[in-house]
Amino acid sequence: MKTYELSSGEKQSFDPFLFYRSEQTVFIEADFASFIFKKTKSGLAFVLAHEIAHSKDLTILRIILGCVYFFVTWFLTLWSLRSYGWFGWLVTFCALTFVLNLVSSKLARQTEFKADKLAIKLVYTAGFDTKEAILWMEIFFSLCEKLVAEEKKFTFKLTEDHPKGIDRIAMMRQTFIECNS
Amino acid sequence: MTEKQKIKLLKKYLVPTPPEIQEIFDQLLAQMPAGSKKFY
Repeated sequence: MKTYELSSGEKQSFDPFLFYRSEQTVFIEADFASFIFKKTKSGLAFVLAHEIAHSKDLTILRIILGCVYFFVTWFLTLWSLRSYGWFGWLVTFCALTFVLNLVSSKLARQTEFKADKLAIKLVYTAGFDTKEAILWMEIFFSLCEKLVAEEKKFTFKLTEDHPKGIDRIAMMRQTFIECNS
Repeated sequence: MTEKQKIKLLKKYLVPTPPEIQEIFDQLLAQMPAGSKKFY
């Protein structure tokens, strides 16, 4: 796995605080990473650990779910097309897309919790100040929520498909207690 | 924008990671052997 840092240019095309990862690569946004690094190393360690944790998501489960969805979609759409024509197909397709969105958003939130939990364990075992990391994340979440509340038109990806900050902090604290016990 | 397009676009703006940040990353990775699911 490699890390790359993004240059500052054109970052407006993406989320303002961008930590993006694909299967093997973690991309970190240059200015933001440097900003956290100057404030708190443990805070940056947590953010990086969170992205590492995502790369360890249960890929096999996702593949199985993807296959199940694919076959169910094919079967139902073909059945509706033969039984009710194009209108039936359209209704079935929309209903399936709606269900998929519901399931995937629930899964996405669960994945975030899992990543937070693992990130705290990684930060703790790597010897960083876990308390400081949690405190920094608490400040970060409250800042994000404040920004979103002030600027209604603008929403961070963080607040769209991630669990609420307060719930994430509670989970982090719980994991920290487990690490210490 | 699809996942692939995003990554392609992102790669245009890559600069080398400062060693101090890479060091933190490596330190964290060292705690997690490849393929390990032990934390789950």
